[in-house]
Amino acid sequence: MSSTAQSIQDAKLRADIDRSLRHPVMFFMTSGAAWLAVSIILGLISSAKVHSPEFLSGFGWLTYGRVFPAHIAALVYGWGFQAAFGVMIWLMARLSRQECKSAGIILAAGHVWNFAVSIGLLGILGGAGTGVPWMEFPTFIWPVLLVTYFVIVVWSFIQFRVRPSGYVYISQWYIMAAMVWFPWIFLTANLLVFVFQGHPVMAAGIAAWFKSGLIFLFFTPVALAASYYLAPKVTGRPIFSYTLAKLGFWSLAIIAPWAGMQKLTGAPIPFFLPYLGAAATALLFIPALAAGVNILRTTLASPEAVEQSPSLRFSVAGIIGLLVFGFAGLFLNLPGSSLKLTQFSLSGYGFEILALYSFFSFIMFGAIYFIVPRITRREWLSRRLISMHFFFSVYGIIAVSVVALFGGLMQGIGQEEWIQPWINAATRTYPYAIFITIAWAFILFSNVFFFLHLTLMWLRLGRRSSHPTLLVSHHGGSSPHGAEGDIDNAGPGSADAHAH
Amino acid sequence: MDSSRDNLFTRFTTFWWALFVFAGFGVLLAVIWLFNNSEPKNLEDVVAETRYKNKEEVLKAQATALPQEAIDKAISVVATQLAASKPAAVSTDAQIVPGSARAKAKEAGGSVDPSAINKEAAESKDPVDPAIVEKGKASYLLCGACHGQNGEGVPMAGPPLAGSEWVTGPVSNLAIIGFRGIIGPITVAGKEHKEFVAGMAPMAAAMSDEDFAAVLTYIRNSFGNKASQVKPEWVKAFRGEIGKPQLPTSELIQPEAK
Repeated sequence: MSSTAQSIQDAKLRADIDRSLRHPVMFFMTSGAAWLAVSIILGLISSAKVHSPEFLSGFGWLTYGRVFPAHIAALVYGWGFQAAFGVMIWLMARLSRQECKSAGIILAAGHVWNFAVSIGLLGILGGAGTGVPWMEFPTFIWPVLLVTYFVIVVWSFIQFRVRPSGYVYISQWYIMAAMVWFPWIFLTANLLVFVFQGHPVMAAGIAAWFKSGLIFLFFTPVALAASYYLAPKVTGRPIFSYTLAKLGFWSLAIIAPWAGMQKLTGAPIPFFLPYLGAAATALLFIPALAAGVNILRTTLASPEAVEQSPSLRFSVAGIIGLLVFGFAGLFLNLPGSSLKLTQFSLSGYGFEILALYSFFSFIMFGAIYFIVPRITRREWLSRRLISMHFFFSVYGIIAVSVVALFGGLMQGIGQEEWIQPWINAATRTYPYAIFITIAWAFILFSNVFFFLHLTLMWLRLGRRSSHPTLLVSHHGGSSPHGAEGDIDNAGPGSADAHAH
Repeated sequence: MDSSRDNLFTRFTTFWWALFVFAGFGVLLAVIWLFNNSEPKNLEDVVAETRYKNKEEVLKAQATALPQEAIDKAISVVATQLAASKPAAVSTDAQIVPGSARAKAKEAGGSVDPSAINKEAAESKDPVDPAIVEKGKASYLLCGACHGQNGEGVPMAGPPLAGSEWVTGPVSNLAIIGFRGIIGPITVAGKEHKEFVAGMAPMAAAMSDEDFAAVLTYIRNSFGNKASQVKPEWVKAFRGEIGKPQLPTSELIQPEAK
């Protein structure tokens, strides 16, 4: 076969794969974005309650103890998982060159997941939350989530197994790892906390371990898989260093499972556990640095791509978020100094939001801006909407992360002065809490644009064009994609292109 | 493309392989857990067993005797009662805690005639023992919080003891004040004090006779005061006053003003 025919064949296969997946992936992306908006509203309310407890105080279901867990649950299980699912199944299908034959089942499972999360959220707001951080859903929900998860991702497992022999992409390592690690930590944590009657203090430690495991062993690998795909794909250059990628993967796999128990420093559990957790969390800057350097060296080799491509710009922002997050993990967990200051403060929240939003969500946004045009065969309607989304999110998340981390330190310093009355520590936190509320407002604003844009694409109202929507417009200039035309009769695979 | 791997059999086995891998860790955990639930071996666990059993029994008894609905019904009633209640005086002997000051007061008998003691105290020419004064000074620390460490009095808290005719006056006054407390206005050294709205608590009710006598001796011989030493048996005679309410100064023997 000639190379042109081969590439047309390849393009056709990719288009077929995209077509087969469009319903489940679009569903996950759109419902995930909706949950993101819900979670940000709940986050705004809970952040407001920190500094103004009388805000919406007439509603019992909006007390801080209910609205904050609801915010986290919507962010993690509503947005985080669904974005991860969408990206995982699309990436694995594309990289394994397999069409998705179970789109209907995945879509049904996705609906069940949404239903379970909604019931769980109503349960939390109704007062039936378990009180265990990040495992707040009423206890009958977690088996449903586990089974649904299995039904969604097992097909990707199969696709990997039947892939054409040859090279295994870096993204595939990460996706396989995430697919297997999540049920391990989820089942373990839920069994040990809710099913097996063990020591209750240890259950708190296991919950803290689960929170950390979810961030480092599920969300991180999925985000890294997406960025290891997008960076070479959009820039057209190979990954900077394969060895560094291997180092990053294996260091994550070895270090991350130990992290998490530092939340329980000082609790009556075996002494080595919290210190091990702190050490592991601090050491996680190694995989963060490895992946960060690798991807940034790959992308910054072609800066014009970062400037123009929305997916790449979001991915690079996400990788920078990863580096900040890695170093925050190092900085916040030094046992001699910062651990005692940040243990019961805003810093923990800032660290989680840094992981979930500034790293994971930004890379998911980048992946969504890449994937959605391919599965809907429409281009994004407005580069300005994308820009607004980007800049407001960046401002907002820098504000949330920096303020929460720094404010948490200040709060911790106030709390350590045990001779002073507690109100002193609370007063120190006051301005930082207000700033965080304002920052969430910015992020809500940005995600309204995102959700609007995504819904329009879901409704097939995107631009019919063979040119991608870039952040910089090429008015009149020549584009490497050729003349712009309708998606069905222009572009590299069309007759027009081959007439020259 | 190598399609020999892509067949139904491979897909089927991979499905079950995936299920096994996903669930494997949890299954392993369950197996380890179930095999690890052995009988308690060390002393702590054995003791804890008994504790847990007791806890179970208590909880069961409470659940039958005091179900949640009864508690919920009673809460508002009890809350209203508590809000409206006033402290009730001891009415039966069974309410007196054994070994408490009230019990000792009861043993000491009822009211006693103070005049004999006061006469003996006023006419006593015995020298004051400095050791007793020192002992009293050590106990005075607490009294000084309201009366001032130099007996000068503390605004809103307590009247001065320096130059006070009450201090150098009849010993029965001092004993009764110590065991019952004072309420209401008091005139000290010609100045009427109405600001001590809480009065004085019976600070000596929990002290032993010797300690109380020592403190009284101290205040009667310090801050410029000069009076006789107080004997423990004089103080003991008035123990029966404990438990009676704070009294106004009108009910005490009025001392001669200086």
